[in-house]
Amino acid sequence: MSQLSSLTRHVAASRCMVTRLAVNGRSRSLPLGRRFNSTVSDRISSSSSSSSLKSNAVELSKYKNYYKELKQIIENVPEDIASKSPELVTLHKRLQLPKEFQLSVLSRCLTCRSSHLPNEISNPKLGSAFSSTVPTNNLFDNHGLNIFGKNLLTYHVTRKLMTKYPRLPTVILNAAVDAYICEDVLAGVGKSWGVETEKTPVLERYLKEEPIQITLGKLRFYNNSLNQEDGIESISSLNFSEKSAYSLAIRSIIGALWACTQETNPQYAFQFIDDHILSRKLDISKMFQFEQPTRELAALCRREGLQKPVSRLLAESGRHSKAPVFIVGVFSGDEKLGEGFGSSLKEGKARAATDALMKWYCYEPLEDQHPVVDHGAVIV
Amino acid sequence: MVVINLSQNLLRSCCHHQQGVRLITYLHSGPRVRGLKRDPVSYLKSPNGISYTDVKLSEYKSKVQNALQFERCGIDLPEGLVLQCFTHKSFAHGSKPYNEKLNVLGSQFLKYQAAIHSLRHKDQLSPVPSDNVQQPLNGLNFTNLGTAVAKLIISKISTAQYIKEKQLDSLIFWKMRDATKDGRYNGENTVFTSALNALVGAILISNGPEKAANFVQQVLLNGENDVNLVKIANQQSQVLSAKS
Amino acid sequence: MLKKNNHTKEKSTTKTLRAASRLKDTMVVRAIKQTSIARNGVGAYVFPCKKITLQYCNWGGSSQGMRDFLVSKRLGKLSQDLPQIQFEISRKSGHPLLRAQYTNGREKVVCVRNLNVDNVENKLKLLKDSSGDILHRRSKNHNVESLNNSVRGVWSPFHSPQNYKV
Repeated sequence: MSQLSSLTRHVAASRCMVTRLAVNGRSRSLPLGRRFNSTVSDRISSSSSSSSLKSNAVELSKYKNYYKELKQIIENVPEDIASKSPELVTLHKRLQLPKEFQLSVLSRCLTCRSSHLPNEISNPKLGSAFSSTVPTNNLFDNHGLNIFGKNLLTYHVTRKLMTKYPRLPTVILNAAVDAYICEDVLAGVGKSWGVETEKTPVLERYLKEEPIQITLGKLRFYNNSLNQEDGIESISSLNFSEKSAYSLAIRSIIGALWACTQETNPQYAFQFIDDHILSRKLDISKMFQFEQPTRELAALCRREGLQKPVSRLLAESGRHSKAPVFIVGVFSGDEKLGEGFGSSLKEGKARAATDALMKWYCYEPLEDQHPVVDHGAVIV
Repeated sequence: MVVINLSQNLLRSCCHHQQGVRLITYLHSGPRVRGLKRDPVSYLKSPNGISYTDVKLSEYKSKVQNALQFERCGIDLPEGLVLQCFTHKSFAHGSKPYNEKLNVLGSQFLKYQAAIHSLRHKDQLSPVPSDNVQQPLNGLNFTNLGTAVAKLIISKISTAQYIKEKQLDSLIFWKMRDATKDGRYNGENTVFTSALNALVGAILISNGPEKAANFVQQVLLNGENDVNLVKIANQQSQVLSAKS
Repeated sequence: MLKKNNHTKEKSTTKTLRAASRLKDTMVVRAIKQTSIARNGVGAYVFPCKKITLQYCNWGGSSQGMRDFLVSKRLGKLSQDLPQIQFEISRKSGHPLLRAQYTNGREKVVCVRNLNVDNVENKLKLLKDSSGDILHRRSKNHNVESLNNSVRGVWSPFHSPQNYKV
């Protein structure tokens, strides 16, 4: 019942949309070129000049059918329609996904649950026809895939970081994991994969006579083009940003990859994460901010049974000048733990202690070494 | 208690001056006095009164090993690592090896394995409205993820309950926020959870992901065991639904 | 009297400050937020060119080469070799264009008016091989560009043999 009412509302809105397009249609050159422009103007002239109710009704019923068909396909994407979508095929090839990963599944990864909203949000009184997505049921969206993909990602990234840097303090470890898989990064990954968002309203697509499979290869989320048309944005407590939609898609592609290859090659998804996410550059030593490096180093030496750290001046230049330089080393017994420079002795000492701590925390074991379990960061 | 240390190094360095340096450390026990070093014996004690320094590692390990059926999955953990897994960060101000990071890793692995467990569960774990049902992919039930019971399996309440039912809680070294208050005030569940998670993390690091996955699926999540997380989660959800 | 009051006030404020700093000290090491930087080709390589639109005119003479190209088997072969690129053909009056879209969000357009088949194909290959970035002039001393630190390190007068020491 509610669906029916929403549909009629759509139709009502689409009527005013047609007249609106008449204004836009001439000034704006639309992507598909001339053919499109001509069809729009033809239709508009027919609708405005004849203005007979009958032709309008025919046009509307055609649109209704298009809308219904679209809805039906998105609710459960058949493989043969998905395989006709150039976006899906090229994305599949670009990511070198395995054959087991079906195109319809890829399309499912691009369907966010936010594209399906309660009618009050997705169909505001005016401009419902502008919405670029159609409300569907939850059968074929990426909700579950996203949850699983997130689990996979956090687990694998944490494990890899912990084996690479076994002594990282927990705060740094968490920040480093975040640096790899936070929403901003995943959105960037999604864009670099060439995933596009669906921005064209359904009605405009219908007027362009765009085949339905085109939209299957685009990222569909809550995206009401109202804000683009009129400068009005609908605000909600839920997060519908483009960034979060991209990260949902990335996570669900990873989740779906695991689901499709778990029987044949369970390591495939992890390899995929290694290749696409963990291959990014992150300088872990830039993430540390020490409050009291000398004190912390002293506590560390005490815990590890090393001799008390002592700072010694190694070299200096221009002590009485405007720009003095001191090189300070920090020693435990005869062993040098770290070295630092500074324009004062104090600064040099702090840098030396920081350097020593850095060498401890950023320790990387060799690959064939026995796994290292750290005792935990020092608490001062 | 007075300990007299003859610092060897200092002794060596001072030898040519023909004099030794004696360092005297006074370790205080009893009521706290500001500025005095405390005797480790007085604070290296778990809430159950076990002394950290007197722990017999092999005995300690075999207790954990038997309770969690390590042999069943062919798992072997170093003795020190087991003790580390059961030492919370709050214990002795972090001066002993503690389980914080193993907990982070273990909790994520557990989450991942629990997700696989609920994916492979053909039926709905908890009732789901019909319009929220998702199409299974490759025989995996994606509707189950994010449901109440799926979340409860790895929740703090369930994992802490597991530790309690296995009677491992007495082995954990931690420090209460306030010994006179109850467990909830002291965040007992968080501590117990961290111990179980850390154990999973330690198995993952030292025995590899296959054995760790086996351990989680066969010991922690296996419905045939008398104590398992799924059963506990179901009990918890019944309790919760009864409350509401 | 007043002075004394002021004095005590000052003391108490310093005390609270100290207490605050002590609280802060319990936090030993803090993390500075960073984001990782993408390196296409380290690990996975995602082909940068994602879509090429070939635009031709059915009537104009400048499109002759383009029309020949479209009629020949070359495009079919190219699209088989490059399944990761989406090819689109559109008819529009005016000079023929090649329009390539890249994964970095940029677009490159080349006008191929009056070019013969081979030249059109070369332009197409030029577009598909491009990374989509704007063209850089590489001056003589800028031949290394890297995110990584120098392996050799930076020369320091303090660490070199005695005769170079400042």
